[in-house]
Amino acid sequence: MNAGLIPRTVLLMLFGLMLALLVPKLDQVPWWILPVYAALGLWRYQIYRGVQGFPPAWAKFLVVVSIAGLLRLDMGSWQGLEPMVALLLLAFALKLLELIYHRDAYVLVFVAYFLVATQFLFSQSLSMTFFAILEVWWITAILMALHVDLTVIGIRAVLKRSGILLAQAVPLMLVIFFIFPRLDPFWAVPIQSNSGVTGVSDRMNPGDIANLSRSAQVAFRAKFEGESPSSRDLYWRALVLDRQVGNTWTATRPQLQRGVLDPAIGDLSYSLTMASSGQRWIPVLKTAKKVGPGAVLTSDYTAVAVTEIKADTRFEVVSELAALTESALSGRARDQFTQLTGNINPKSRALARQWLDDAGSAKAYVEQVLAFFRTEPFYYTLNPPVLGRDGVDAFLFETRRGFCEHYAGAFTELMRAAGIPSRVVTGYQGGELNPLNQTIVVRQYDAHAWSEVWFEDGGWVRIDPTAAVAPDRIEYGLEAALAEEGSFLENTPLSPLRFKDSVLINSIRLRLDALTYQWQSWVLGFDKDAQTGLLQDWLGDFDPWKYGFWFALAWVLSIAPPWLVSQWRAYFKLAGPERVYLSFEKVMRRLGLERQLGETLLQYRRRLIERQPDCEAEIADFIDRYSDWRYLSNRGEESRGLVPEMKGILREMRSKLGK
Amino acid sequence: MLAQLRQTLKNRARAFFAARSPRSRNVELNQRRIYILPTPAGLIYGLLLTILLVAGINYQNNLIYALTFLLGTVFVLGTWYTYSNMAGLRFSARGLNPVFSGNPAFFSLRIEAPDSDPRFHLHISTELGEIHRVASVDANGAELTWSEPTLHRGYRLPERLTLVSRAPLGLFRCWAYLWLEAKVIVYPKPLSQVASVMSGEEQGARKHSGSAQAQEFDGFRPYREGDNRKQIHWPSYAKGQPMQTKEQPKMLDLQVWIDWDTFAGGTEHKLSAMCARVLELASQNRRYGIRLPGLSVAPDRGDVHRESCLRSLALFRLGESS
Repeated sequence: MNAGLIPRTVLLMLFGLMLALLVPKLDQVPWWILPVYAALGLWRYQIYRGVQGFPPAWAKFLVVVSIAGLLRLDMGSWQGLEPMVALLLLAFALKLLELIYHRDAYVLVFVAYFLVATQFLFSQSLSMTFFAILEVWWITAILMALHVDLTVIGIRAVLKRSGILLAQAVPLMLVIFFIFPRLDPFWAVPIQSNSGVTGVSDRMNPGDIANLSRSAQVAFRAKFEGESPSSRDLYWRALVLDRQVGNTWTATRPQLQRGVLDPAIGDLSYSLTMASSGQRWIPVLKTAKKVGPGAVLTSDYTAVAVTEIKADTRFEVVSELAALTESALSGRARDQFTQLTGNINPKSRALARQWLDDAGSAKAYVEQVLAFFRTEPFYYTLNPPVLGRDGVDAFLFETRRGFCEHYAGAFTELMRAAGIPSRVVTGYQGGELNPLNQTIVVRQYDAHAWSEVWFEDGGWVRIDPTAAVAPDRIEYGLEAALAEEGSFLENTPLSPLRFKDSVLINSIRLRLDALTYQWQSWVLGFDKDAQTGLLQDWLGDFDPWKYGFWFALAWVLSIAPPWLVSQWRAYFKLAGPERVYLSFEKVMRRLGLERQLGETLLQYRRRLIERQPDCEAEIADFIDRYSDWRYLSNRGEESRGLVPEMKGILREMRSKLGK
Repeated sequence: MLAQLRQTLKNRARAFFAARSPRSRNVELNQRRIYILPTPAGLIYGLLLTILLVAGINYQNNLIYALTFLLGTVFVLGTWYTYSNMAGLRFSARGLNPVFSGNPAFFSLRIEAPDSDPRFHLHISTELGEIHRVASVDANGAELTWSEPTLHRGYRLPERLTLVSRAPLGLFRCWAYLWLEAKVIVYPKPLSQVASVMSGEEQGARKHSGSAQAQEFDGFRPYREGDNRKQIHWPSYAKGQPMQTKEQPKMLDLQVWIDWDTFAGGTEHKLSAMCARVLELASQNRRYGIRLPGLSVAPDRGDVHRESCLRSLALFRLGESS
């Protein structure tokens, strides 16, 4: 059998599989994989059509070496997941090129199963799971198609059979899934080295966040224990940028939080499910008191994960909105938060000093600056003009068009120029509350930047200059703020998010989102503790018998349905009268009057009447009707009234016989 | 030493399997007769499962866990699927035409499926390594013919057939041994050179030599439709004369006894010689009979007679000689 050739239908299915395996990996592999993959597929297709022959050994060697070399050059190393995935994908395509025998197909099928598993390392979303199920179904169908006669049952029947097989596997799979002990990792595993880094970063140039705001990708989801705070309180702090370098704000290396925080006083508990960002920051509400697992707090009350967030990850956070922070700043800290790059933005800095003198106090000065933003013709736009060297000057006095980073940057510059400690904070603002499951979905277009100013009496206070320019941004989100300009998601005209006005689309979207969250939080949250809790709830204390019972039940559930179907199919294939006749025979069998092998109906009838003279009329009537239907009538036509009649006779007979 | 041990083990295994499936006319496959083990591909699949499990543990990835357990359950279900592909199949065999010893004996195998659900990829191999591939068996059943070598005259019963299938997943290999009841009659191997001792073989006037085509003939007569082509006098026809048939000597009607006692050698040798003689006389369309100790077949001619003569030779003293 191993020497068997591959049926052509299976080849076509393998071409389909090739595509199905590539699509979910497009984000992770280098772009040039695509044409190489397509070329290899096309080559094999030409062989399939008989236009070309199989490649000679030297050509295969050349292709393998050049592809491996390219991959090494492009990815820089073999470390990490992406090179492995890219290599496996290429290996799949190359193996397809020399696919002749069954054993080659086995290799392909097993590699394909493995590639499906690697997809989960990048995303465990509901849609990915669904796609993976389809892939596994397809791969299993290929495995099956290799071992059946495709001239007898078509590919559709093969798909049906493999679908049944997988469905059968589900009960036992679930039992093992819940019971199998979650072990600690055996060794540290490599994670993606250079997957797309998304979200706010530790550098903020004018225009960065505006770019981010064009994406509707989910950044994270949050679920509060109890009521969610109102949108204007949802300032998700990701990074504190305390250093100005020219027009750019950057973060210095964060210090670990040393002060002892009392988590008991936190009034807000919530869980965050972060989408893969490739970065370490975790957006938390002020003032974070506790974060975990696998994350720590910094001295700025931001949170960072221990490793880069390369896959959907869940964190539990406790915050307290009203908490006060540092009431005193050391001299060093004061220097740090009033640092400015020298010799730029002279006009702004002069203005700042003048305003501070006019205002008299820091608070009054802040009010004056905000009033300036509010009253002067500033515009909130996703498409701000490019600024030169003295960016803040140009923005404040010439263009006056900007996105949140322009306002936050300019505001902080004005504060620092006046000697008031301040910093830029980036993160996300707001988010969409899904009323179905009370989760808040925060997307990349919710990315935001604002300022924090230190006051002697209040510690760090958040001040959002954007709110002065576009109050709608804070109250209702970006979409409302940009309503006039029409630039919200202008690059993705078909995004469902553009159709929030349509009630139906919106409700479907929210429902899907609720489901996605449910799935994510469940899949990501089912760890050792969750397992222990669940098993405790369901099964109580450990008892091997109970586990054995569940295994046995799952096994029966797996095997029983197809067996029952095969048993019953024979029965239900019978016409109505035949079924009634079978139950008649059953009654007779109980009386020891089985129909003998080779006995005709007439002989049987005679024998029955002889032995059961009490029921003569019924037996005669019953068998006559049955045999008339069976041998005289055009079968099927008369059976409509016949079945109830026959059943009636049988009932009478039963009551007479006392059976 | 090792080879001896292997042989012993092989014989033991054979005896074990044979005891579990006695020879019978019809064999229906059930759990007593079907054996199952993973294929090399199945073992690699197991390796894949292990790798997936380690990946699931190391990456703490619940969906990889789920995939692993799903594929693992598919593996376990694979045993049932592979078994069901074979269970319930009914086999019966019958022997085909008799053969001469030394020629292969042919048997016909009939496979029937118990229901309309088709069964796939059955590989049936004989002890000699002859492999027959049956792509599918549905309610109509399937039939195939296989051969076994013959060494001795008598009844040839089929050797063990091995039925193998990996369908429908290729992860497991189910197999069963079939010892089927069927017979092919094997005639003795005819001696190529019949050194027959002619003495007293032919009764009646021995004026013509019985061996070979008679060179002597009584004369010619005009060709009649239906005359044996061998008896046409071709030389005269070639000279342009009308076709003429050689008249056969009258002795053809004389009956010939092929007598056990007139042949020399051991039992098998004698039977082989008698067999050759039967064939020779039959080809000459002569009347002959055979005499064996305790058995004789009265002289006659024709195919049926030939068969019954050969059959008596084949089955002569079967108990002792085999």
